[in-house]
Amino acid sequence: MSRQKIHAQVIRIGNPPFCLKSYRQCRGCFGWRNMIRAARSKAAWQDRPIKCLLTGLTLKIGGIPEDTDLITGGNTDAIQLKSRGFHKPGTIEETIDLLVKYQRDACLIAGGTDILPRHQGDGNRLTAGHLIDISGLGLDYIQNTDAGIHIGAATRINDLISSPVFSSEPYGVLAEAARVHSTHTIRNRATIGGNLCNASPCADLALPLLALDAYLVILGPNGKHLIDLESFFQGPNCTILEPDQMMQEILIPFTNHLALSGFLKLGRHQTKIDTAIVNVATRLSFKENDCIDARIVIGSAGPMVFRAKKAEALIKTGILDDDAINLAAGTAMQEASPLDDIRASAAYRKEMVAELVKESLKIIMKRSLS
Amino acid sequence: MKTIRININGEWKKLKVNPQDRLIDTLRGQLGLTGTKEGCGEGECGACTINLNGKAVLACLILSVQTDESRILTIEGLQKGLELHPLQTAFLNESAVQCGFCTPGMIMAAHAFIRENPEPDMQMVKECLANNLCRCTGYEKPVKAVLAAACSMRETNHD
Repeated sequence: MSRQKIHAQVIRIGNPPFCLKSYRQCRGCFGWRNMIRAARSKAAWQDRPIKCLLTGLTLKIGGIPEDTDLITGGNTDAIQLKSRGFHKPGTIEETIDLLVKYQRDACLIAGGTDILPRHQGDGNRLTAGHLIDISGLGLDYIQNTDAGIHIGAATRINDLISSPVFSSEPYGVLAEAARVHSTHTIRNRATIGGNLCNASPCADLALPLLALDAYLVILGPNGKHLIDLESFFQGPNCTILEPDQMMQEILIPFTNHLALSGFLKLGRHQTKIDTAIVNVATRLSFKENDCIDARIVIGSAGPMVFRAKKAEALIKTGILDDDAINLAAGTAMQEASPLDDIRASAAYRKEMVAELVKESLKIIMKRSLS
Repeated sequence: MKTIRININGEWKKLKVNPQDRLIDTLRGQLGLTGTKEGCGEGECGACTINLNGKAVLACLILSVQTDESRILTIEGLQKGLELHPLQTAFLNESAVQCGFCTPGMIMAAHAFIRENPEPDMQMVKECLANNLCRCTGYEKPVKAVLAAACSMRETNHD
């Protein structure tokens, strides 16, 4: 029996990850070894660059023989690198200048709740040469305008929960997800932009924002541009952002349709600090009594957070009843491509995708009837 | 090296810190405030919880340079002279301390929480302490202690 050969192209050299050397779990969702295994077995993982958070090694699958020593190869300089500079720019222009100057050696920091734990336990706390603190740029705001709701990238997650904008529909799903995101103490520091830029496949806040069709305002040396959140994510821990670009704000487009939404998260012990085994956000828009649009967003069950579009189409076109819900849940399960990891097996995750989609659609159905 | 100015337990201080120093390193190493404990060092256990500008945060997940011009309160800052803070008294009265390693973190998490929620119920207190792991597994008594402290702080108008 011959195994399918996988070819990878190294985009950026990195090191053997600490998580493999010392048997610590990768803080991304799946772990590096699993990513390689996934790329070997699943087509969905092969057309995306895969980046290891610990080492910076970034691969694009699709080229070299599988026995190439990718995991243990690489140069060790990157790992020895300690933080050489800390910058706290006062304006966005200064920040972009710094990003242009230091390129991949630069790392933006706001809350730090993802950047700092990544470098613990190995004596090398920070691999980025230059940390750029963006907390002085005034990017912590929630503004309601005609275009929609603007959320600054450095807005603390707890501020989303306390904001009246997200206290009810049509935008309430964001606060619902924020409430189950880690713990109160972490949320006092963690920011919404950080949660997105980290591009973890289980990022709690990415789900409701995808369900709300959010856009991102990206800044770079060539100015400002808008991209939709769906095309922002490129793979596990990998975004479309260039080294000299940064996220300024998240824009949730204005809607005046009646909408019902829900967010469900399954954790290992159902404690607050758990990373999700599977998380699901659903959102249905209604015009009079007809469902005119559906969003079913699934996290922790693929290389990145994704919309189950086939399942969405089923819900959108049919009458919302038990049969339609069961069919949509089954379809969503087919669309998921999860992995085995320390939190759960792929098979269990698939089952849970179906259960969570079913449960959250049923909650919406009940509420739509009342 | 960077120079920062912080208010630590009511006193403004100028410090020179390395850009990669975490706040926990500065507090324990440079300032000798060893009441704040380091458990996991990656934001899971909550032993290093302190108050930064009135909010409970983890000192292991903040760089010292990021705290320039801010107010920091650690467990050492709660006691006024010989008089214990109501939270400390409550933890003693309820015997909410076993080995004591997680206690400073729990008290500081509760301190910021009671300021925001002067009349908490048990569920709220449990949520507040959700980021504080106790390996002696004594969770019930700290919850009772926080409730008792909130009650006595309301009665005495303690801040």
